[in-house]
Amino acid sequence: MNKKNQNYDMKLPIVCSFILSKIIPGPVNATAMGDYEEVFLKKLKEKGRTAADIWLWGQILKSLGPYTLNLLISSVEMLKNYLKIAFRNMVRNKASSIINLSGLTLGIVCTILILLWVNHEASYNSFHNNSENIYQVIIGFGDRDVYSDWGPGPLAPKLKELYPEIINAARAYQWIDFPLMYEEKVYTVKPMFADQSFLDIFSFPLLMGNKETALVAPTQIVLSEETAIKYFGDKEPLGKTLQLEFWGRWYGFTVSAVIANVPSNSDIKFDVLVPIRAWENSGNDLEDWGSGMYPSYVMVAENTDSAQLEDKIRNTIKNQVPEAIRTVHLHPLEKVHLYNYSGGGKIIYIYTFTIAGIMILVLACINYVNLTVAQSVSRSKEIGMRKVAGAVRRQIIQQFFIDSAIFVFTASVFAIIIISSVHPEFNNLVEADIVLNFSKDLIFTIAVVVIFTSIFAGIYPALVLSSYRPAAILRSGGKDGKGNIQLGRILVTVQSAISIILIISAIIVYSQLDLLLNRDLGFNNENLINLKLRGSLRKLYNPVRQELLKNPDILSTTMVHAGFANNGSSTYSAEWEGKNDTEKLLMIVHSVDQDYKDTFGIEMVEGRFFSREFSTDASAFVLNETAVHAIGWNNPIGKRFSYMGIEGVVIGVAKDFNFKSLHDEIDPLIMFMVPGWKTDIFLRVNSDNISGTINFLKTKVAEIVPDYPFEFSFLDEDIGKLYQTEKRAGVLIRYGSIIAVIISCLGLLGLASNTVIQKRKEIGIRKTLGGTIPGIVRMITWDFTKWIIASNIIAWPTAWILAETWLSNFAYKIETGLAVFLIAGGISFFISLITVGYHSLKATFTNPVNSLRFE
Amino acid sequence: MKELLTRTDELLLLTIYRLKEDAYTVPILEHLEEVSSRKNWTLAGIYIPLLKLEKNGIVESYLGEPTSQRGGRSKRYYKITNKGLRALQEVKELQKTMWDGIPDMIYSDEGDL
Repeated sequence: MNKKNQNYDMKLPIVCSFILSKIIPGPVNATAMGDYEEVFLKKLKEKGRTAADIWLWGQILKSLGPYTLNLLISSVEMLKNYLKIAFRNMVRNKASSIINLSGLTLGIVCTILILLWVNHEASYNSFHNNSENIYQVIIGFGDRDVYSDWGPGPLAPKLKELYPEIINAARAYQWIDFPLMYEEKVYTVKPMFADQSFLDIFSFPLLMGNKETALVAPTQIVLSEETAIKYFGDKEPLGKTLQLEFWGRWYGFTVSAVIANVPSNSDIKFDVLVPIRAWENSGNDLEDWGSGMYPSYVMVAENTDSAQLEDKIRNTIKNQVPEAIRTVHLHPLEKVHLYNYSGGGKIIYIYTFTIAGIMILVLACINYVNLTVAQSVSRSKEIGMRKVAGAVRRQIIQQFFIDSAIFVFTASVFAIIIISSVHPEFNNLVEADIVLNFSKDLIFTIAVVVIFTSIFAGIYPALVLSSYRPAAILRSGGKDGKGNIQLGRILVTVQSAISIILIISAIIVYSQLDLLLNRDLGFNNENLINLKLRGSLRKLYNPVRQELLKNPDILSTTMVHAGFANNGSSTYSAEWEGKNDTEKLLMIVHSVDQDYKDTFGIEMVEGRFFSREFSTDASAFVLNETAVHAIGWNNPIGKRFSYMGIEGVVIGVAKDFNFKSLHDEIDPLIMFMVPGWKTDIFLRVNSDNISGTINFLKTKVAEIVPDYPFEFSFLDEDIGKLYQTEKRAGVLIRYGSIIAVIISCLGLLGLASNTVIQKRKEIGIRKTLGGTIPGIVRMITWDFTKWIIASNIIAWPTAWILAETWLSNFAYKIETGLAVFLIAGGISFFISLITVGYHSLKATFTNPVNSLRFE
Repeated sequence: MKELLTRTDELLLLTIYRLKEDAYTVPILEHLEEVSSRKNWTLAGIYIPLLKLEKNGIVESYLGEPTSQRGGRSKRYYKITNKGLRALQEVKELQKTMWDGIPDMIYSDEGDL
């Protein structure tokens, strides 16, 4: 009929005929077009062009309402039918529906949780009103590719003074936590020593007090809301005076303002703000261009070209101090959390997990595709009937998309229920504070996931199954499925490749973590208790020590300033015998006492450690092997060495030990004894009766030092925290790979059962003709085994490349041996063998009469 | 479930009945415009009720031979089914019963509507 129509020209204006053809209901469309034309031509002849046009447009305008209403009603009718059929199919194929639903639910849960986490990580620092104009000042060290965020004290004000693009600058210095006392309440708080302009640059809103005057006088203090409540409850905090202790002295501060709690997605964290002048008054020179401990932030004018500005400010330090090697750079605040200035950073985890989340969802989609296509035998008859009854291809495609949308939607409802219930555990897992409110963003995310998944899962079945020719389907009874089985296997291969990659990643992340946490550090980090040196404990250390050592469970104590689980101190300014003037060597500094070696269990390679028997040890130095090596001495003992105004000799060389995180190699280390420069006490205790020891410690310290806020930690736990990111990654990847394996097993299970159903007759015939049960089982399992082998071939190199990329972050890393790959391959092989073997056994034991009687 | 015909249905069916063999959409439209002295009938206003009537089995339709005059499109002719005839009869009787004994509302010389 279509062909016939083409021989005639429609006389209706083209626009009108287009509109009409779109809005007239399908059943009467063709004849109605003719009717319109007939009346139009009649009017044209009788009353002329204008009247005819007016009539036609009038008809169209007046018809729009009724026609669209009709269209709507009929599509609702169709939708009802689709829903009914989809529901019936769901119920009829219970097993595959359950597999589909659980796979999709797991996939959606994973994806949404991971997206929530990624979203949280990406939102860091972006809550400040001017966040896109705020930069962290980064200090470079000459030509070396080493960067730090600690700069000289006068840098920030100078930057503001010199460059008009920089409209504001602030120093924000933070070191360790200090005790804060009000009447009898003492807690440890995290202070931030900052300029007044800190409050202008960052958007931490003040709840009480005046922003302009809150950090001006050196005796002012701004409390966070939480801190204010801790000290004052619901009483007025403004104007109250608290005591803050640093370097063993208590300083009085008056509350000038209360600031809102810092949000969890901020890298700048503090409990109290103190004017940086207060830090200066405690004996630190803020005007010293040689200092290097003050992080600075600048705010630039709108639309400033940051690359240009970076070039301009590069030599700011050199311009003040000609011999300086340090350079000045800018790092956008919004990037601080995820990107290191020198490249890399946490962003690698964001990418990894986004990809992992999507992969898991893809696995679930593959299951759906496989199972739907496998059902095509029964579905194709339905499609044939629909086509015979007049359905066009577009409608069949629509129907399959509606099918997948129903599955995905149902799965997402389950997923939301699961997410709401595991949400607190998930927060624990990733140690983040992700709030689950059904905001626009979250609903949008879920909607995107649902739509993406429906389309992805539905597109293949829709296109393939809708393309069948009805006559062929109805004649052959729908056994036109050879190509589909092939595709199903390819998809299963991709699926198991993805899960093998995830299993390998999980094993590698775990062994690397194991290495990091259990590696021989060169000292014994177990049973070491750390007390921070606070309050009068500094002055009273010796009596406390004597009292503590009376307890046989406390083996030794030492008072140090040494960075183990934190950054500690480092220097370029040590001098030694034979050093040439241009040589610059970055060395880590540990200020120790005579008990340091025994408490930590450090071994000596040459010479001796500090001892109470030698009064000259006050001007002696102990270096580590790396330092001796870097200096280039063959005979280090007795060589002259000086640092911080102490002129002395090297008395010993300690065996290298890892005092920093294993991300980095061991640095050169100086150990010496400066009486005042101490921050921590470490106690070596007996592994038995640790809680008794801690109780003893607490009572004794409280007895002798009443103003001490008793808090302790175990060094091995603190060191463990250095690998928090890796631990989180390990946990996430473990859950991810377990879920991936479950989903692909589900898929394999479904596919195996379908294959077996399709081969039912073949198995029956083989059995009647004398085929043995093992032979038949072998035939079916071999079919799958081939593909599992193929998936291993895809997965191994991919996983290897991923693993090497990740491991390159670490100075100390595991060797990725063949074993890991063999284990993962073995797991995949074993699981699929069980799954497929079960089904083929079941099929083989069926009496051939049952499978052949329909022939 | 039995639904009463609407007034539009009734008008459409009576037109089809009168037109007999010639009952396709264009004459139906013209007849309706003529007898009801209303000019705002649309083709859409005919198709959609007819689709519903056809679905309910009140009318049936068949296609005529395509001709060159109408852009090559066939005419769709409508015919009232027996069920339709019964429905019409029912409406007619109902009308009669309802109007029985009620005088004309407006005298004819007062103007026409």
